[in-house]
Amino acid sequence: MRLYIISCEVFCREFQVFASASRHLIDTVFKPFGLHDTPEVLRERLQEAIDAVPSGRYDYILIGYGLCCRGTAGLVARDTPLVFVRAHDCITFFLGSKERYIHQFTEHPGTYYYTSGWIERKDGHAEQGHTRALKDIERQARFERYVERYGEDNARYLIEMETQWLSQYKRAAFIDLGIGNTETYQTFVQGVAETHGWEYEEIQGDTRLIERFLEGEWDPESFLIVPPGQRMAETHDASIIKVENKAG
Amino acid sequence: MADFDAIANNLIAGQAPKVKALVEQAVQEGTHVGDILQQGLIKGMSVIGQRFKNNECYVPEVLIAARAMKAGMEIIRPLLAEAHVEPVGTVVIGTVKGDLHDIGKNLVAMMLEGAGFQVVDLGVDVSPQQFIDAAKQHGAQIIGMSALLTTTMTSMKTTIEAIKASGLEGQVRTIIGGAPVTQAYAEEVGADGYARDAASAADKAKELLAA
Repeated sequence: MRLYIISCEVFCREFQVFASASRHLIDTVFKPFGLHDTPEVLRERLQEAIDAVPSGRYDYILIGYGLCCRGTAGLVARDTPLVFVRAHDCITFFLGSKERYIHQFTEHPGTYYYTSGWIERKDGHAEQGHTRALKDIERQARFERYVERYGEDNARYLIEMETQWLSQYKRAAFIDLGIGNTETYQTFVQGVAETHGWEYEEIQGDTRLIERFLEGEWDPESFLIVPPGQRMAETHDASIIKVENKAG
Repeated sequence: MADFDAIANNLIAGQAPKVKALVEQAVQEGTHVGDILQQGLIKGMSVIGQRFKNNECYVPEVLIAARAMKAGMEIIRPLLAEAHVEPVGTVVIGTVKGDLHDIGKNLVAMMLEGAGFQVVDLGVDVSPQQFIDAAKQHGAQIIGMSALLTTTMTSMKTTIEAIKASGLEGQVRTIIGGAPVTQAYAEEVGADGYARDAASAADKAKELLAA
């Protein structure tokens, strides 16, 4: 088969590993990390990317996103069918199943999950083997902007409000998929856990969902195929997503 | 004569210490606390709420204005009951079971307080039973629920079902909100109201009280 993947760059390493090993022909395009913060923009960017795929060139377009704050809900298949993983977000991909994610999520609320993508694309960047946190630098810059606008006392309050959620979290979990520079990632996540007073834990990742996604083994329990002219919609139940008639 | 405009304007500018000093001064001068609340604090917050809804100001401005309001409220809160100033209503609020993200919920709580409501904030990860118990205990007319994640927003459905089964139906109205929540979802799960942002949440709460 000829497959085209439109994906979040959080899957950069994993998808590239399995795409290159796949028996199918797979082209990939990665979108910047963090679009889930603005779900409307995410939806717009993905639809544009879907619409730009020439008719007839690929058998399927694979969407490398979960529901992601509803940013993928409403995406329309044009001439090429779309394939989705039934997932709320990328953590399901890394843990290997939506059931395992829900179990983790319910048993350990307040967990910040880290993978190579979350480390390299969001909270820091890899530089000659060192993963360096950027967040503190950004926060300092924001603090200075606030001081200028609202005074120092208010600036301190605003930063406190923005970072309050950190104290609600209890655990930093590194999901080890055995890809990339594992030692660097471990050190990075341990550092984050220490900074925030969180527990550090390593969770064995499971690449089988990603492999099945890229191999075209799409059982309806874990995947959803949206035929041409139809669109993807959320279900608010354990199935997470469904096909909806475009006119409906 | 207390300077209500100065209270409102300093609140709008997020000047908590100034608001506190002005409210203290007004109380000492014998100004009715109901007037300080209505013509100073609530008036200022309503301006901020309007600006926020019109995208004329953003979250930081709302946060510092609400902080200034809180500084004023702390002075007059103990005096309100004595002066027979009743809140317009009581709202129990929290993020639903499993959800630990509360900046949006905190903003809504501030806006509600700024609109004259008594707000019982249950914090984060609130179970259906906790919502129900608090609503009964405080005689609340409204329960407000928030969720940031699509994983946790389904807890809204279970909470609303529990409220209906608890005998509170008819006495308590429900409002839901949060990033993934939509009007369609509110209708699907049988919530009485949906608010897309903190300022509309206060309007929606007033609307539900009047209904």
